[in-house]
Amino acid sequence: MATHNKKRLNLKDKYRYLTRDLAWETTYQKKEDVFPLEHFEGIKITDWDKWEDPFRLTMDSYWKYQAEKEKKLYAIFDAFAQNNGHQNISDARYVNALKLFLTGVSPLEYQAFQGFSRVGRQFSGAGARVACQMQAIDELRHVQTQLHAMSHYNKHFNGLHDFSHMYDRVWFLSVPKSFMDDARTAGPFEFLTAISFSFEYVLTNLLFVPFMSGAAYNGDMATVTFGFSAQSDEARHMTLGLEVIKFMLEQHEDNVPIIQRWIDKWFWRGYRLLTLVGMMMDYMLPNKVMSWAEAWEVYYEQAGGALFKDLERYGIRPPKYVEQTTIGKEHITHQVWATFYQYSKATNFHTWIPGDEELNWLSEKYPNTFDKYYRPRFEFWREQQAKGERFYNDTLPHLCQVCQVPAIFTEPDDPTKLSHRSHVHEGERYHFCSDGCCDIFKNEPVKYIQAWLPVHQIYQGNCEGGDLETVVQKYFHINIGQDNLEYVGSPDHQRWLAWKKLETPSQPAGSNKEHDAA
Amino acid sequence: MSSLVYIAFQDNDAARYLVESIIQDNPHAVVQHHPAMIRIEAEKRLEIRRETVEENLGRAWDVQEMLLDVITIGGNVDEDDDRFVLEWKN
Repeated sequence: MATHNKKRLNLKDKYRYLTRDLAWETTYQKKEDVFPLEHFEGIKITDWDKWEDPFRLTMDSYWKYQAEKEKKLYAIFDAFAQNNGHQNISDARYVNALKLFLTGVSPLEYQAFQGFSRVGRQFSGAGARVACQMQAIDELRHVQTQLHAMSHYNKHFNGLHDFSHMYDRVWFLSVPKSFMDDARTAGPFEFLTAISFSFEYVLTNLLFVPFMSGAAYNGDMATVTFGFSAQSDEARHMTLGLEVIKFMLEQHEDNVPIIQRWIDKWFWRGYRLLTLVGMMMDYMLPNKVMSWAEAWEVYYEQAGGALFKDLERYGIRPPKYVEQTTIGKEHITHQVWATFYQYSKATNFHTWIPGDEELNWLSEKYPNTFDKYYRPRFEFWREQQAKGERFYNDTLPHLCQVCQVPAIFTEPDDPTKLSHRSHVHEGERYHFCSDGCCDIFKNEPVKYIQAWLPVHQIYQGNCEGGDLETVVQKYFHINIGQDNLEYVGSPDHQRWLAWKKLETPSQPAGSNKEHDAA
Repeated sequence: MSSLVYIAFQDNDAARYLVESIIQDNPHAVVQHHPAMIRIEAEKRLEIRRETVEENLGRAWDVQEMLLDVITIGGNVDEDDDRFVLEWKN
């Protein structure tokens, strides 16, 4: 068997030399001037030496393993491109999930890179600084690999041409953007609680694991590979998230209520953000792996249950309003797909009514809710479409001041009633989608009154025009008739049918009554 | 409520040996196959031992090599030169 050179330092020693040994005490400047953001949040750290990174990854190993990951990843990108991999996916509808991923998720990776670079400067503990710097490099790698993977799709499909412009402007992309802006404008400890713990540890599995497994199941070799390659870094990030929380809780009991409030806030914000991912899983993957509700059960209820049981000893309880997510898991994806279906004039991706087989799958996966509340609506819209009256909603939706999702969700105890909360702050009334978002506002009103809400901005005339078409084309850079509207009959659809040598429909579905005559 | 730890690997050649070794050392572990992914969960504790992996692989193996193939983990991590442990203590 292998012989190990005993003269080499072991992992623990190597890691100690990398972190503690490269740090120093300040002499000619006061420590609090060098790390000015470390105290204002109220988190008390008595001994930074208690910080432990269980992965203990040193720079030499980090570069070695990351380089190997990159080589494997880019070999697959090359193979995918050289073999016209985009023609071997399950169905061209699938690419619409990637359009949402590129505009809504990849920019978050870049924002995370910036966030970790910033907080990695702000901690006086060397172990925390090293961990944040490494994660910053990882996040930069994620955005780069995702852009490289999806640039191939950009050659063959519409809607992928201007993701960073769209991220800063398009109405539904203000949901992820406001999430990350909120985290990045918080103090360093709240940022770590928000991103490392609540997002990376508690929720990120829902984004990268079942969805990426779904990408594989839909023949998208490039995406599953960047997804799992990114997620292999995520295993370290998750560990960091858990260590951060335990470290802060162990340092001082005064930290407990502060952290509990952050956990409540960031769990709820993450839950709202992930509605988009849930919709991708339930509606945008033609071959389905697992429903959103099932993924929520495995990756939140089961995994989060074990986690919060473990944190109980510190006086931490599960996040506030968690019981609403148990109810919501059977509703939210249907509600949000119905919203995007209506507002498809203003999206960089297409929407459609699921086929019968997919509707049946949804009925089976959501036995308590789908047939009762949602299937009839989709079937009605399908009938309208067949009559040439494909439904588009031309009004602008009412956004929640905190999560910026339109107020489309229903009351936890009544799925036939829209959930709406409001609160008056300094004579002005603000609106929310839920108790969770309303609470977040009440804790920090001065932050959220500054929210940049796309609908308000459009009505105020700040988006290059007053009518929907001008805003969509000129302000969002969405090409009307190519990137947006119904999938059936779209240029993407026509191209797909031509590649597959299938019959091209002469008209978009529902655009005339003769459509189904063939 | 049970306290499950879990680890998922890319379904590739390297992971095959890892999974084999994990099952050997953790008889209580449950293996689930998903598209492109193998997920292993276990009550309370899961351990990857360098010695077992090296025996199955037939070569020297650094515990941190698992970083190439891992997708996600759940549980408190403890790692040294000889093993990688996932654990819930409560």
